[in-house]
Amino acid sequence: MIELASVGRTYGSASAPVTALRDVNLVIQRGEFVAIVGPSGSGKSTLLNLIGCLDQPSSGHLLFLGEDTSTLTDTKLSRIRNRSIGFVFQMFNLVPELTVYENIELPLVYAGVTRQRRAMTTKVLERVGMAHRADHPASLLSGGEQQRVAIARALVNDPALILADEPTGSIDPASAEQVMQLLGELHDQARTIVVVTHNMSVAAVAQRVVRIESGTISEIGHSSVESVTAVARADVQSPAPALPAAVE
Amino acid sequence: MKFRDAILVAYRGLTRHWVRATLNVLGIVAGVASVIMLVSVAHAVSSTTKAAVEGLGANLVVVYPSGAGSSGVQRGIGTASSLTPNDVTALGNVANVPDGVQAVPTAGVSTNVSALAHTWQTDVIGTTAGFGIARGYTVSQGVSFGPSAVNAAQPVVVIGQTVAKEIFPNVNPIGQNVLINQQDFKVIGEYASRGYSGVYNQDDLVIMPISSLWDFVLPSTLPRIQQILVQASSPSATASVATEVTNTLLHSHSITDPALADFQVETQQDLVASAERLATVMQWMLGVVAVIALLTGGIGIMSLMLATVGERAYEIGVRRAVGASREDILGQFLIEALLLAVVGGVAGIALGFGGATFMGDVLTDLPTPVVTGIAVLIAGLVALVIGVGAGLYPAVRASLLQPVEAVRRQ
Repeated sequence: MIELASVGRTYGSASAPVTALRDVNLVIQRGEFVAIVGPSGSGKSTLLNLIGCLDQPSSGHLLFLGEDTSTLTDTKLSRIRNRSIGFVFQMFNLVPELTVYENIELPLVYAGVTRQRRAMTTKVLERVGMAHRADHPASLLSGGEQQRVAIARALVNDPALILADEPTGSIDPASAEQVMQLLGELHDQARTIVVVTHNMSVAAVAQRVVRIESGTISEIGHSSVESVTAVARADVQSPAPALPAAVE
Repeated sequence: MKFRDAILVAYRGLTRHWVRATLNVLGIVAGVASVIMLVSVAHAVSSTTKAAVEGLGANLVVVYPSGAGSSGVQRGIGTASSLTPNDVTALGNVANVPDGVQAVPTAGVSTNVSALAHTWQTDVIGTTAGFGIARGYTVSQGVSFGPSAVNAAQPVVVIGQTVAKEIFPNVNPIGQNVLINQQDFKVIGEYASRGYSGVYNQDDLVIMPISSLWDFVLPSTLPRIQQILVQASSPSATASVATEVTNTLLHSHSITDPALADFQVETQQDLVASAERLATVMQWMLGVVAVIALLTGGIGIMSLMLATVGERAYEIGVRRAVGASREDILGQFLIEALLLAVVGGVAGIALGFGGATFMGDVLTDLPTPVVTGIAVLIAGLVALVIGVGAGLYPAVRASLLQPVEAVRRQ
């Protein structure tokens, strides 16, 4: 589904470049559940933003469903984000002034869906158990509730790919469990899931763990107990000062 | 994205930031209203000025005394009395002015006229029998005076309707006496009402033989003629009459160089033309002031919208992440600006109408402002252009935000 071929991403000016990713090669198959782990500043989020067509590689190629994203127009990329990708962010990224309902229907508005909009919105609203809050402003919800709304928004267009960036990072453990259960269900429905996380119990749900360090992939392994513990150990041990300037 | 949704998204964008939206609208309202009010006033003033000049009478060529003194310094209109009764006779002669009908001298003073317990200040004009025809007045009651009254300096007057109402509110003025400069004058006639010509009340005057004015009203000054009205046979003849008048007077005043003439000749067309020039200049001036007002509003809108883009980078990023294209974001901001311009424009037009009417009611010295369709149209279009123009740059800025940048900026 997604193929990264020696992808690099550099920020800043030409005279003082900051490298966030270098020479990343990665293939994600349709229907996979992949966890991307690594210390802060290692380039996890940058990688996720590239996969989600929110950002473009500085070098190398990223193929989305066989198409090189660097050749696509903004309108085409917007359509991919709209129809094929659902984002779940650590900070939920809802529009605070809009109601729960209005936030969830946003992708449908940009997709030009009119007649089925209400039915589709209501369906995902019920699925995440937030129907009773439909007319509340998003800003008045708790973190766990906001994340459920964000998941509903990610689902409303029925995308093939769900990208989650630390989805449990800002919510309480009970809500985190709900969120992970939802992600698991979505995977069971043949969706491709990519999760960026620090949390080992989150990574343990995934089929495959991709470990990133200092902007490169250091390890790709199956989510066996050993590899997860190895990742966890490495995470704890990695000395923060030795890392390149944090790019987040 | 459907057009209806685009409008709704923009509308919700505005209502969520209603303080900012209101300030934007106020900027446009003030601009549009001031354009309409200023243009209305300018229009009213120019049309009344033109009407006032036209009210002077039909086919008139007006001769003023002026003079190049021995120093060569030209003195202003009316300061010298170089025009004499002989000039009037000469200009009335068909041999000298073949295209002329008659020549009428006038002299005037603004003074008090009283009768019984009433006193009224008005223009007292001394002239000859042809004045009414030259200036377009008709006698509605009584008679006017003839050449014999002028020759004999009879103390008789013809009064305008306003004067009649002010000093004879309950009495028929004909046959009554009025007191001017401690001299009794008998009212022999009353002019039919002419109404206003612009701001000038054409019924507020008293007419008497010019000799009577010299003898009884202005006894201590030298007899002088302030104007000679030469009536042309037709409007098209005024130009040739002007030439004939100039030649006659140059000859009788023994002046060879026309640049040294001690008189000035103006046709009514000249006066209308200069009045029109004046009106045009004024309209331009007020127009520039109004455009500055609108520009100020536009710049205000632009700075507010730019601040909006910065503040709303997060929202823009979220919208981009869920599938909004650059065009969608550009459209949202442009439609927001357009909505502001339309609301501000409509409110501004309403306020402009109200303001123009209010000015007409309160400032009675000012000619009543006339709101023209073209002024409304221009103000509306300018509001639209400025609203959208001011919204364009911020909208482009917003659409160029990278989705990832915007999401990151929270």
